[in-house]
Amino acid sequence: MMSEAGPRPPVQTTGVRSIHPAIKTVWRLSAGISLLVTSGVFLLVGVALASAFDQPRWVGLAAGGALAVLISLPSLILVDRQWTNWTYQLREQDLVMTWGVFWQTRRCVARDRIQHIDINEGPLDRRFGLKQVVIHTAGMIGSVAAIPGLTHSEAEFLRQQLLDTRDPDA
Amino acid sequence: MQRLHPATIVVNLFEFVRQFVFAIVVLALTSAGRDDATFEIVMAGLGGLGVLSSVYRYVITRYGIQGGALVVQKGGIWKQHRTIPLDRIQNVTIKRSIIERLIGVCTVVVETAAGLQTEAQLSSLSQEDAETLRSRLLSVVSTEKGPSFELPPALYILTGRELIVAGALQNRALWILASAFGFLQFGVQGDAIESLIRSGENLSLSPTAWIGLTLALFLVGWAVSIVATVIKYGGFRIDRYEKGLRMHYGLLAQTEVLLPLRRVQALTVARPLLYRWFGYAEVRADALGSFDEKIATGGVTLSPIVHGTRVNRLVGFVYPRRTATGIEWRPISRKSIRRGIISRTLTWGILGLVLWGGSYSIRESEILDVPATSWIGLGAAILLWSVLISVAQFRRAGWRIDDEFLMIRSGVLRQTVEFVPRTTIQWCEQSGNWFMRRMRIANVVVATAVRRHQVPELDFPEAEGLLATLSQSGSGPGAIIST
Repeated sequence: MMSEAGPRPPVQTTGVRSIHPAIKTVWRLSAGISLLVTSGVFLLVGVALASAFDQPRWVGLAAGGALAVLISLPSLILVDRQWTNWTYQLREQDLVMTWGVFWQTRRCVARDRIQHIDINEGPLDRRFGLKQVVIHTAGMIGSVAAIPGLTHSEAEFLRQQLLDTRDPDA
Repeated sequence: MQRLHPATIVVNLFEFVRQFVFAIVVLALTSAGRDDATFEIVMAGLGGLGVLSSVYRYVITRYGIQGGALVVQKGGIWKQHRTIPLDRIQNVTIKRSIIERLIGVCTVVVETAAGLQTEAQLSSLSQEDAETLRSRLLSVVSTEKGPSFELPPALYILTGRELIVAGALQNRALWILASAFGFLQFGVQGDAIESLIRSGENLSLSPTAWIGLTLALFLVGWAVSIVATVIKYGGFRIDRYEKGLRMHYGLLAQTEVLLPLRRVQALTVARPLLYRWFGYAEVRADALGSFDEKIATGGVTLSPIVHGTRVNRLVGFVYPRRTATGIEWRPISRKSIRRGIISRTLTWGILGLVLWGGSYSIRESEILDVPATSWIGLGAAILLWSVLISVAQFRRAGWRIDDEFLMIRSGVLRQTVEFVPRTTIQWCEQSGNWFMRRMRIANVVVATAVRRHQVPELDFPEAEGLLATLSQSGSGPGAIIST
């Protein structure tokens, strides 16, 4: 079978690469937004509970606020570690990715197992010129991984390397 | 890149209205006879929203075939650029809803390797565009023929004895017993059944009578369970058809399951505690379903029960050169015992402390007044249990990799042996939490198209070696899904 693309581009490899540092700001902003939303909800619930149990209103406000901050704080604090631990490396046969702070994972997916690839960008990503590459293999186990914080050219490079260099007869 | 057919807007709008039809009817009914314009205002708002979203969905979507791949682009607030290589496409279907049929357009559904969700759904295209697209997408796909339905002599038949044992060992009897108790418990509180309970009290059943009643219920449940299993799996037989195995069973409702061997992703031989005592096992295959054939996805029962002596025969149907016995298992890390004891003791210990604190605060009401020695005893019991279960798990766990298979042995009560062919592995990983990293152990997980399999807690060098071996599998024949 001949691919419509004509001759296949050469297979390239990379060293261990980090994702773009601007993703940290994206993560902080989205953590901040979720902090705002959760604290709004928690404060309301806190006030409601306080009045239900005949406590002064400030007790409910304090408890709700503290809980919201406690829940959202780790994702804000750990942004740096999260960024440091996110790496990817394109090898001859496969793509290796590492991520995670408490639970750390190093996952390998062979190039010839990849079924299709999505390049996504959310509103925040776009503001910083970032893309997310989602890699799918066969079956019902969900995507292999979503590499966040890639520039347009990095995302395109990955897509082209992972899809266009495959040997269609393999 | 091409746009969809403009009639898409109408189709989208129709879909939108259909989603809200219930709400609209309710609103119309409640506002009937009222003098204000609530209904009109809500309808106008909803209509405006519907038109906007329909136009939006039409405007943002583009598709086309570029460089040997189908590209679907959605460029709204959340952008998506999806690339599906043509040689990965398994099936293309053209569907039409009623509204689409009226307008004369259709939807093209593109499926790759039988994932649960559709990889691309293009709605709506004109008839010509849809057919052109389908022929361009499918020009590189070999079509798959359905199986033939003649019945060859059976390869394997479940004996009546095995059927009855399977029914007897499945825990339905306990279920029935539990539900009967639940009913009695509920009845004590319910007003309606109070009189019934009173009459029961008047009968003044002795403890022995209660035990007898329970036993009778249990026996009846057991018999029902056996009969149910015989009806469900009666006449169980396995035949071969040109692409694999066909399981056929059922006395009343008959079921036929096709298992093309190329779609088997892994095989599991399981021995639950009761099965093991009587020398039986069950064999299941993980199959990747198919969009067009009626092939079950997920765990397919190769045989609900099989005597230990026939397990290897069943395994051989799927993997001809493989047996479930005589495998030299490699142990997992010895440190897993220590990790198991520590994390179990911590988890249960914290739970115990919380209970203790709770009991302390309600002691005044004398609901729970347990002396301190009992708590010490409970702590000792937790520790002992943690040690026992951790050691048992370590002794049971094992793994082995050869040129063809990764094999994993695990489970203390329900013992399993998993066979994962290396060609079906989609990705592999090494992972662990902070505590495991400190102990220099890691889990190795492989994923087939159906599910994940885990080799737990290997020493770092061993985990890294296994991962390196596994990622070499990628150079092997890639097509595991195509038949």
